[in-house]
Amino acid sequence: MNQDISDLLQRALKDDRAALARLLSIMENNSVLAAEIELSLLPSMGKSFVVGITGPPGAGKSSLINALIPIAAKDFDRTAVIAVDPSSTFSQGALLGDRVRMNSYNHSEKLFVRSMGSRGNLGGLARSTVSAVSLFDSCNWPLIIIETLGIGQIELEIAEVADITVVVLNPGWGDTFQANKAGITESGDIYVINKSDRPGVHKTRIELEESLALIPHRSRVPQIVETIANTDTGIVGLWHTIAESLDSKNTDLKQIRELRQQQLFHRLVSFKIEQALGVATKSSLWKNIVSQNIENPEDARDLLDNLLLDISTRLRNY
Amino acid sequence: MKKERKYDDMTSAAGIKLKPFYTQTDIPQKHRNFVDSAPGQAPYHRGSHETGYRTKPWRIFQLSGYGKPEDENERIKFLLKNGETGFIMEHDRNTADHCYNVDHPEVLARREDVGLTGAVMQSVRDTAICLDGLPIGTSFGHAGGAVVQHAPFALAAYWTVANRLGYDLRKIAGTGQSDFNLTYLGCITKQQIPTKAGLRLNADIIEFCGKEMPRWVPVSIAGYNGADSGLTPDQELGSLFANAVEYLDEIKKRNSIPLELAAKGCGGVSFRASIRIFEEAAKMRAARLMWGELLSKRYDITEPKIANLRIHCVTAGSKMTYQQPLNNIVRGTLMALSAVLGGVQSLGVSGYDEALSIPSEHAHQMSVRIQQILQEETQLTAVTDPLGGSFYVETLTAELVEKSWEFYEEIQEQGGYLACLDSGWLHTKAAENQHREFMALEQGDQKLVGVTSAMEDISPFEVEGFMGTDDAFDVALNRLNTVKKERHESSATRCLKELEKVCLSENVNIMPAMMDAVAAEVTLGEIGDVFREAFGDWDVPIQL
Amino acid sequence: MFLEKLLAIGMFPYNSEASNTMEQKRILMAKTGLDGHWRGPTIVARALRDAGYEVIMIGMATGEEILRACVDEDVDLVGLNIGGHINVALRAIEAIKKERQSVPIFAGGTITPASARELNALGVEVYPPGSSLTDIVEAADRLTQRKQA
Ligand code: B12
Ligand SMILES: Nc1nc2c(ncn2[C@@H]2O[C@H](COP(=O)(O)OP(=O)(O)O)[C@@H](O)[C@H]2O)c(=O)[nH]1
Ligand SMILES: [Mg+2]
Repeated sequence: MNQDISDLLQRALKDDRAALARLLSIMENNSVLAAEIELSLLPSMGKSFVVGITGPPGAGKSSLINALIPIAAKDFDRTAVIAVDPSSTFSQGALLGDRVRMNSYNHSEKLFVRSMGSRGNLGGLARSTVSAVSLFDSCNWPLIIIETLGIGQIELEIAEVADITVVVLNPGWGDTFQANKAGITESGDIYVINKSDRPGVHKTRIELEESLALIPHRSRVPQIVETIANTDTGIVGLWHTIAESLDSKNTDLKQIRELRQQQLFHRLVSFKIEQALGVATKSSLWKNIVSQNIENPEDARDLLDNLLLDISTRLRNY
Repeated sequence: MKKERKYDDMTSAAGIKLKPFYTQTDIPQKHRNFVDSAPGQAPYHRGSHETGYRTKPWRIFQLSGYGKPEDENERIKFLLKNGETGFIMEHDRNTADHCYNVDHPEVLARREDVGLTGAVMQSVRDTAICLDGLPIGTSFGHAGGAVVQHAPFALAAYWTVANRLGYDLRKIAGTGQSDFNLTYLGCITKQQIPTKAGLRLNADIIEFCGKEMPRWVPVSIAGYNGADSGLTPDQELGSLFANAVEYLDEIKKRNSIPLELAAKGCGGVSFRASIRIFEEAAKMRAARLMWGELLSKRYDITEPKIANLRIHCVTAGSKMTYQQPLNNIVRGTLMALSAVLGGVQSLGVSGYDEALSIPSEHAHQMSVRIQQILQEETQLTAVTDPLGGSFYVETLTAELVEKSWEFYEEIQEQGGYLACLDSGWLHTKAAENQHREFMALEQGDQKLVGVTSAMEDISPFEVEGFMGTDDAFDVALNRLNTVKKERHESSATRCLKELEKVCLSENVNIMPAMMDAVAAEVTLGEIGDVFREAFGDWDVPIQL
Repeated sequence: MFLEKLLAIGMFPYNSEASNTMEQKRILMAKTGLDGHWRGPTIVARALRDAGYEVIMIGMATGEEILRACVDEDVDLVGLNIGGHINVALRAIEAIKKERQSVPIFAGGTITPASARELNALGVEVYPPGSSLTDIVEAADRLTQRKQA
């Protein structure tokens, strides 16, 4: 198993698509392995840009990505797309259909589309989306586009992973997404009013501008772009805006890298703690918490110390 | 534990609770007043004319065709020789439905599929081959063009050929289909013009026929395609009338031909005749009643010649099984019976090899034979509306009318029929029903003989299906190149430019320009390119 | 390489039985023809979804597109809805057999008995009209070697 993974990694790094695809599955299926793989990728990470596309279902995220791909190809040698769709809470199964819309470049070697079921993750990404980003990054995919779940709720997770977050909305958005306005307007670097062939574009733009103005501490006011994804209208402009934002961050590539590194270690550590905790809670010490006789604050403190000691020993032993 | 089949829980396909027996008092009061009417008179449910099949037997009308235009021509002639009384042209799905020529990459990637379920007709030359020697002047002809974006080309080609053969366009009778149910609900193509553009094309065809071709049924709304995609009988009816209203309202808005002409044109429809015999017969009766009501209430049209719906029926392909295919001859007969009891004007019976392939010659012949037996031997044609006055069927008719109007209203609440296609609302309804139907089979609540029960098969006949020809693609490619080489290039270019201009203008009828383009041997794929450029793509509302 | 070092110092200490595994099988569902029939493939896809599979739907696709999706999505099983000529499907099947030999393929739709025999001979299981969804899901379980719960 371990040797297998190591072989796969070697192959993937040498541009073997099937190996890369297999590793993505392994990371999806096993988050422990995913974490370890990521750790091993650290030296080769930090070369790619990550663009997140978020917004409610049906807003046109997949269609926009489809339209962007050929244009992005002028600036980036190759593009990887990770498209997340919801998994059924009953069966854990999923229908993943984003790929259908991304057919403009379908059989080009320069595009890698990967569909992911959210598998119970709530933040808009799949459990292993972040790990997948690390892998694509290490395997020399200079542009990685993530399409989030788009459950219409606040999807802040993407903002942590992506260098640029593009929020896709439609005319009339203000009427239907009142409750979520705050969340949506906090997460984006660029706002797209897609389906601007429909009525209400102007009104939506004004509402959006108003909501964005309410957010304090913005270093720069996000741009608003109007598009019609299925007729390629406004797409060049959108790409231009994205590329510009990326450029402005390009000077800080080092910073991005450092940030990713930091995030990765945070993630790995909290993951390990979670794991240790998971095992620990099954031990008699933890199971007996309920039956402990706690008569004064000292007792409580002692118990806590014991538990922390137990955890730290467990962590150290890993 | 064995599941008990509950005696008191039998519902019809439309979800109407069925009683073990019916009496006069079951017939709703309002409908009771209708029971004594005569066929041919309002409220029309009893049939379109008093003498019924005695004076005019239903038309034997079978979908047919494959391969090269000459293959299709041969099959149609075979059917006519065997007793078919009208003829239907069928076009190749890959090229026709997408308005692609055979050299389009999507077609090239599937070249063996070309001609599998209809003949390839890329220019008027091909249509001429297909129509060679067919009784255009004396028979009711179906030009094909089932899919909306293809219909203008298919019709223009048929008319151009007819015209060249010396027929007067004002005198020929026939139809195309140009059906929204097929195009946007039943079989969603890889690429299609949006519904709004589709509505415009259909209105253009209706308008054009209203002016130039009084005997032609310009578009034929096919409840069949909705029903076999999953809609229940009440939904089939409700959506069909909601669809008709979209056409008629558009024509009324244009105000360029008398609305009566359009109403007459839209009054040639098709339904599915499925296997639950009395409900299906009641459906045909309900349909006539509803059409009369709709025309008089909404458009103030009461002239019986117009308010009388004319129905073509096709037996439900989806009831035909892959297993023990000979059983399908029985199913075909029973479904045909339901249509005839319902008083339809025209009928096609699915082949017994329906689930395997397009019909073989023998399956086709059997479909004709079934109809001939019904017409010649059973005396079914003697009395119009034989079910009239049946407590059960009259009640079902009335209940279907009510349920169907309810569905019609639901569609209106969703913004109308087109809006329901654009939003996927209708697809969801169909999919829910499909799922329910399938689960009933899966769980044994509904039996399917030869498939979920009675599986033993000792038939000595191998039914292998029909594979057609294998040279359709090559011949089509050659012909495409030839026509492009031989045609008068500058007039083709000019006509194509003109068509483009007309498509982009909003209030010029495209049909005259289409006729010119077809006459100038502009090809199907070139017309498709103009459409795609001018109208764009429809957003498919469901995940396929 | 860094990885080997990690291996050497025992940084891959966990086995896959840990609670963080969530093995999920993936099935590709494609239509080989340009016909629009969607009833069959969607009913089958939904049944597979409800049985816990991740079903990647790519609609009408050419052999090339099917192969690309099969590789990139690293599916455990390829499902083909065949609505037309068998040769069109065979092109996709041959391509898959060449590049990803080990991936099983099953198919359904309008398939004549003769074509079904041809597919069977290539190791492709055929589920013609009238097949039960239970059988299809069972076939998926068997072909993907999914652990039975
Ligand atoms: C219903 C139907 C329609 C509906 C569409 C419904 C829909 N939304 O899908 C309507 C009426 C709109 C329609 C239209 C047409 N149809 Co049609 N249609 C049928 C019909 C009667 C049933 C198909 C069906 O939905 N069955 C129910 C589903 C659940 O079954 P299924 O698809 O077979 O799927 C089952 C199995 O095959 C299997 N399966 C299917 N896919 C997969 C995939 C995998 C991976 C697996 C494991 C299993 C599997 O599992 C399913 C459950 O058992 C068949 C004939 C028949 N009886 O099969 C013809 C049929 C498919 N149609 C046919 C034709 C020609 C047409 C038209 C061209 C006719 C016309 N002139 O208008 C148009 C198509 C236009 C276009 N642009 O494509 C032909 C195709 C011939 C061929 N390929 O050789 C058939 C065979 C009829 C015939 N004999 O001519 N059709
Ligand atoms: N009218 C219009 N429709 C669009 C536009 N962009 C996307 N769509 C359609 O909207 C639907 C949903 O698009 P999709 O990209 O799948 O949305 P997602 O769920 O956000 O990925 C599809 O039917 C698209 O064709 C647009 O700009 N205008
Ligand atoms: Mg999407």
